[in-house]
Amino acid sequence: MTAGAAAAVPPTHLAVLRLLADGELHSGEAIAARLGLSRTAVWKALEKLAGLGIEVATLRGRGYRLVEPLELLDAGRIQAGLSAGARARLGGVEVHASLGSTNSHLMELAKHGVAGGRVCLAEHQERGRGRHGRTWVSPFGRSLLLSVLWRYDFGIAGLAGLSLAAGAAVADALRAQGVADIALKWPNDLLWHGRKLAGLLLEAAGEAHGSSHVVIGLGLNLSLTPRQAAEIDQPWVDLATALGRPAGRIERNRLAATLIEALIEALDRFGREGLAPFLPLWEASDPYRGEPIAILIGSRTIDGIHGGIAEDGALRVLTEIGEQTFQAGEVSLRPPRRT
Amino acid sequence: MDIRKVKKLIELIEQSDVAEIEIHEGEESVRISRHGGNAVPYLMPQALAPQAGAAPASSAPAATSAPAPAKSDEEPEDNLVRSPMVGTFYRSPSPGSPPFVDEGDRVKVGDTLCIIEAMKILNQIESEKTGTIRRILVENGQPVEYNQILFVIE
Repeated sequence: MTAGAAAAVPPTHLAVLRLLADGELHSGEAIAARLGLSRTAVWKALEKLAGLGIEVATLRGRGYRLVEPLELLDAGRIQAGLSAGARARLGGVEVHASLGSTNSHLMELAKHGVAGGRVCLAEHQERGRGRHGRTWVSPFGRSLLLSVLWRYDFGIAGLAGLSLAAGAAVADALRAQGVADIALKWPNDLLWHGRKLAGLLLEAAGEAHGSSHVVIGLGLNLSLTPRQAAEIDQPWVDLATALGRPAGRIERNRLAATLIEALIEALDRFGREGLAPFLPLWEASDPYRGEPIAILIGSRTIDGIHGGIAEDGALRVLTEIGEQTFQAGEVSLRPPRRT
Repeated sequence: MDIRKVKKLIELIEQSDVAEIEIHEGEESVRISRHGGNAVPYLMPQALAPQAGAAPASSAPAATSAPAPAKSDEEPEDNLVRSPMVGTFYRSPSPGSPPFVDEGDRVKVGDTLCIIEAMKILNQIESEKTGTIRRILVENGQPVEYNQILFVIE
């Protein structure tokens, strides 16, 4: 697995972006003079930024402005937003302009012995991933893309419930931010009115029963334009829509701190108490219990009624032949096929 | 018997851990059997992953779902890599990319052999010994049971 060596966003391009981030109009001359660049260099930077998914409006003869202002991620501001307890368990915050994938980056660092508690954020991912090989659409600055590395003194066989614990923690944190109708779909998809708002992907390695490390990756749509979202292969929504608030009013650093805080707390608590304390939280965000679902495993689809979550986090499904539990598989809320 | 009914019965069998079912309806009867003879279900790549009752609760996984001890020919237990969990087996980091290992490859302790996805956690399964991959017993994308043999390493 090639891990995310920092993809190239040259410092001059980032400098141009920082100037434009306020959403105000800036003339090409002013930008060039301020940064000591040629007009051509400014123009090239803008072209590169557009390639990352940043929408820049050009006003002929007057200059450039971002279509929407952008609060860029800042490691210092994020750390300042954490509680003392979370800061004590933190192993540093990295912010990257562009990365292959924040998960791969931390998995690679973990292999080289980096301590648990490391947090990695990126404004843009070149190879953002969802479940097994699917891409996670991540245009520059339009999402929160963050990963947290954690180490446990038990093996990967004991990690399964963490997937649900993390989902419950993020759902709880988003509800506290004002997303009233946040819903969880097993094991940890975050939906708003049936549309995907955020997703979690966990990666783990280590011994089966010795010690292990795990990376939790969170992708949260903040504000995607329809053009940016054209690649998404399922119904989606962004936080701006869910909050009914313009994207420019979302304080990305504060939101990142809130979510990191929630994840660190969940990781820590899961290590001490397992999944049990998270189950009531999970169930409180599960409106689909009792609803028809289909579960896809390999090439087979099994229809049934969502029967809740077992103690170990497995999905209980009431099928025609009785209750079955599932540790793997992909749940779809579509009504069962007619046979 | 209506062919659609038979189809439905086959689907039911597939979703269950019932090996064989026989239905009598008036003068007609149909018997559907899943495995020929005494197949060892957990060695079959098609074996269903999660089963009613077979799902290992985290408390005592080994007791419930390991159907039988190793029987991969006469391989010493030491050469077998078993699945530490119920999940889906993947041989490569993403579809289309080359597999982590192939039969005949040399591996050393700590090398990633495969990924088992369970509850949306991609678990990298590492080799606990140095040697040569002699056999790969599961196909990419197939469900695996707890304790199922994945690789033979010599």
